[in-house]
Amino acid sequence: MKFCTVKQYFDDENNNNVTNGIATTVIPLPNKHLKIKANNKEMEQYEQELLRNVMPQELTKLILAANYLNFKEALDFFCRTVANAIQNKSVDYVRKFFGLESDFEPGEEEKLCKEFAWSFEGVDED
Amino acid sequence: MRICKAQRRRSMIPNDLVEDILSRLLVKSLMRFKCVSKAWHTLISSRRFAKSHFQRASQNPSCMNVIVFTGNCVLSLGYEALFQTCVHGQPVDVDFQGFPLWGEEYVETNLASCNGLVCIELYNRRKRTSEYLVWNPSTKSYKNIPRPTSTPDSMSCWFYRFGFGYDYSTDDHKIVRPYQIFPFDIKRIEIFSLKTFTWKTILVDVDNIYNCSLPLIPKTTYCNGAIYWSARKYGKPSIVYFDLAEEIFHELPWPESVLYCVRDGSSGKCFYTTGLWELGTFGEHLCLSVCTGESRKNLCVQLWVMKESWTRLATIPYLGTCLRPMCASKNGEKVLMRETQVKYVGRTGECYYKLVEWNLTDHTCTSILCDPNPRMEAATYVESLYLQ
Repeated sequence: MKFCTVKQYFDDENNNNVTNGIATTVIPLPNKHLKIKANNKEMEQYEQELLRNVMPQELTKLILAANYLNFKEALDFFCRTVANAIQNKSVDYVRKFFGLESDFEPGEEEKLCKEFAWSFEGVDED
Repeated sequence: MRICKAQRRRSMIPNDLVEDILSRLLVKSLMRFKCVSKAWHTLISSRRFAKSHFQRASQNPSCMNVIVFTGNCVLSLGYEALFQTCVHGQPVDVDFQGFPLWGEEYVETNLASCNGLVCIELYNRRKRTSEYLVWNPSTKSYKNIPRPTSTPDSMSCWFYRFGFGYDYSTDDHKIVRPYQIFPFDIKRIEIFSLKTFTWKTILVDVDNIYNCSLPLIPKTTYCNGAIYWSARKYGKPSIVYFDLAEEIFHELPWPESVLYCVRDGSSGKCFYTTGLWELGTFGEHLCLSVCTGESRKNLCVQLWVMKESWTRLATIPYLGTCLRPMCASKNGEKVLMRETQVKYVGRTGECYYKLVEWNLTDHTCTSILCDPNPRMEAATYVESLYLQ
């Protein structure tokens, strides 16, 4: 099931600008998973290695690729990685990452920030 | 990190995956991200998201925290602080309006927790009245609970220890207070629903609930949709539980092989250990900690967990104290327990509490929080978004 959609993915015109990076990252995962499925720690280390050189914005592409391929383990891993990446980040960083803009009325946002001021403590600098 | 506008529009993560990512975040981050956009504010504030976030957090042992109420302050311990080395808790700033935790005479503070929320009771020993507050230490929100409208005069009835639990059938947190009206021995239970924010009273089947006449009444325990009381029935230990969905009391059989009557070697008399057992939780299971043994000089503490039936987990040395199991480490090797020491001054016994961690494999015991404290109450809680 996982492998037949791979061909479809590359044939699909909209995905023509998928970089080689995606292919080399996502495709080998199923084989590796099967080989070292028993050992979680090994898998963790492999996953850390894999993503060491991947920029945060690339993660979005990886998630979309894994989602299209219906590859649940990779999706779970990428979502977990994004969660860790944004855990301690500012509101602005998160907006840029997800391509969102503030749609609050003027003054509404300040009110919210004040209400949850404690949650802004210790946040990473942008 | 800069992402150009064109790229932003082309590669946006679909909503269901955004939700998946957000459900993995800590509550502190989520409260902050409520400011990202209106949609995110609505999502993070929703009950549905709180439920899915909690379901994920409850599967993650690292999301377990312990809240400790000492005689004059509140401390918080995260999972990293437990099961590592001897630590001091992080002081927590608490200011509950109209709910003074300390300084009042004859008032004791009792705790119960479940599914991400902590319920605090201020019990006035003299007036025999109780006030409640429900608190989420992760979101820092709390709600003062209104007094029950039909509470009978406290002098004509006896309230059993309150319980706090989660009803899976209605996705609701509830406070329960069984009581008994003299002299007719009518048993009732008051139930407060956090969802409807109202109290109701129902009659209890007469044979179902037993008198807890122990002077040092152990707390209630919440586990899997039911609240458990340690009780006594005709001198024998008894476990009674209230199913929150069915609203019925049941009795849980005592593990058969555990002796609750230990023969005193010299006199041949029976030494009842009915006062030396506590209920708690180990992972998602009900855990019984009981002092037992062949003879009075040969006592030990056995830990049993309730799965399909009672299964013995471990046996640890009896060091003269009663231990309440609170939570287990990720690998199940260590158990966090609250130790109760009773010091007698003349005839009156005073309770002193300590938080300890027992290693079940090598039988070592480490103190988590400093000295035995006469008024320490502790409860575990999982990070949650319930009550924001």
